[in-house]
Amino acid sequence: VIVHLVGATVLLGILAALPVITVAGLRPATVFLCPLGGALSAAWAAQFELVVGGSFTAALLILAAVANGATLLYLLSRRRERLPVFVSSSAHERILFIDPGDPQSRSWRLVSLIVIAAAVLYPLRSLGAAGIGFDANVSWLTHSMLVHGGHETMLLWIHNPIHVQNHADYPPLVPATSAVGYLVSGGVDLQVGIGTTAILNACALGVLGSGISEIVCGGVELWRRMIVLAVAGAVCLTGFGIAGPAGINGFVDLTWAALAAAAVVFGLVLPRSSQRLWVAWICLTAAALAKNEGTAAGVIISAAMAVRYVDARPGSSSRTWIRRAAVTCVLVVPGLTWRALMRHHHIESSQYFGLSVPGQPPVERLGATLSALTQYLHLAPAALVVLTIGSLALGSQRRLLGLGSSMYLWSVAIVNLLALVGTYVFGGYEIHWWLSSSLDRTVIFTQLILYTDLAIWAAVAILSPPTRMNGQPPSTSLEEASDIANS
Amino acid sequence: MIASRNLSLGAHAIVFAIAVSALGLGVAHSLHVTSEISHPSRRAVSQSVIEQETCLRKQVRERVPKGTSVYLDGEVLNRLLLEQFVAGWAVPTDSATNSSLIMTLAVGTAGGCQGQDIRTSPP
Repeated sequence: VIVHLVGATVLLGILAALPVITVAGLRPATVFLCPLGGALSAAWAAQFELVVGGSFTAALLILAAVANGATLLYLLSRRRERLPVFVSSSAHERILFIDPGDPQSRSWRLVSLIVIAAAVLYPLRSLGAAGIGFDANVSWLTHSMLVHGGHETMLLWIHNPIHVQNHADYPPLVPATSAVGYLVSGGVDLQVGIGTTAILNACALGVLGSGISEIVCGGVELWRRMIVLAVAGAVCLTGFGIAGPAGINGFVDLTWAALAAAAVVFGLVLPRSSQRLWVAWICLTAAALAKNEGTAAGVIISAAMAVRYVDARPGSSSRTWIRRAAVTCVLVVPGLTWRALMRHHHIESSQYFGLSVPGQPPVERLGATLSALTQYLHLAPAALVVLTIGSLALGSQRRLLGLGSSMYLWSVAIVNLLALVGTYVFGGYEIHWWLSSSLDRTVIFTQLILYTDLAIWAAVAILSPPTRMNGQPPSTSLEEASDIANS
Repeated sequence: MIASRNLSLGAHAIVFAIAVSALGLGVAHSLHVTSEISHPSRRAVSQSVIEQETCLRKQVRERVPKGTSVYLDGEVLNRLLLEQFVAGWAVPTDSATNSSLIMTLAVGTAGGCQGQDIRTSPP
């Protein structure tokens, strides 16, 4: 099984390596992003298989060939015009910090990669020990067999009325990744199916941890860098702790949550750059194609990224908001293809809404939901204290590091939490059973965001104020420097 | 000036201490969860369940011809499990009369797949 899982991860990585390295550059996160890019290709291949026909293998090869061919053409055209072949790196990297050609910088990236990889691989030692979760069995593994089975099998299954409780509308990222595992193992193997899900979780947390470690800047003492790296590794480890057995038994809740949190860090926290925007886009698209909750989170994060990346121009606020709405659409549409496909086939998870549960008015459901939430959000008071003190005392240092406001991160978490509460209050299941069987998994994203915010504030506190970049305090914030460089 | 600097340093220390303590607790919880999950006794139980499910899938392939329409009979949870076993192999139907075979998951049987067995019968 281990050999098959390693083989599947390498295959996923190879499928997407060229496009991912081209858009994301050579950074520790890229190592984790390549298999995720491959998983994204597999998810689109599953949709291609459903719409066009044929086998999953053929669809995957065609899409991989198209993506790699397009990237090669792009690279060749850049070379002919004597332009840099990679998408531009940020001012954060070019102006003040890491020179990619510097051997010290390269060795630091290697150390970062090793620490983050160790943090995400350690929990995988319990792989196979958590068995198969019930939902993993009846939904995700079932769907993976359908993707593996080909066009006819998929079509027959999603139109079969007997599968109402089987969530035929669930997005294809994880089943398609498991199907890639079956290609490597030579047939359906349940352990390979759940193992590939755990590897996706590890990769998503790896991107998140690598993103947090990118806060480190050049000219900082080694011990400070090591503390930031340890904090980033702690978030990766904590991710598996929050999820518990659901992190390794085939559930996909940690997958979308970690991908969405990584999108938040690269798109809303780290200094703006086209490379980071690409990393964030890959993560949020993968999150949207991983689970329905990830689709909702993808829309919320896309809107926040549009607000951050599209600057307001004086005197034309309506035009600014139109541009932001357009950018949101561009960011989010590739992640909504599966939803559109399901709507075309008239497949909806109708059991969520529109069914009233006798004797459970919304007020009672709200009370039960809020009461249950308190069991999982005990970190919130500490995070709020850190947010308050941090914003008052370290806000300027945070801006000097070029980091986005904590408000972006908190807004995304709060809007997502409100959507979750709304789902429980107006949903169609008996509330106590529903909360006890799912809340521990649906709040993973909120918990992960709280830990991520704490890690970022810890990094800001340790990197400033005694820290001086290259011996001198920077005269402008990195956000401003980034804007100047990008303009 | 000095008081302001001390206040700032104090804020840095508080932010760092709270954040690192919370993350430390998170890591400790994660290590505890990982070691608990990977306990040999739990691993043995999980492996046995996976082997059982693999065995039941194999039984379906041996006892039901590929593409057969089957009616999955039993309680909701068992029917959902049966759907997984027949996925990509047989075609579940919504009534016994429209099917070629009725399939049930017999529990507590001797032999079979560790006490579970796939049973088929004509409609």
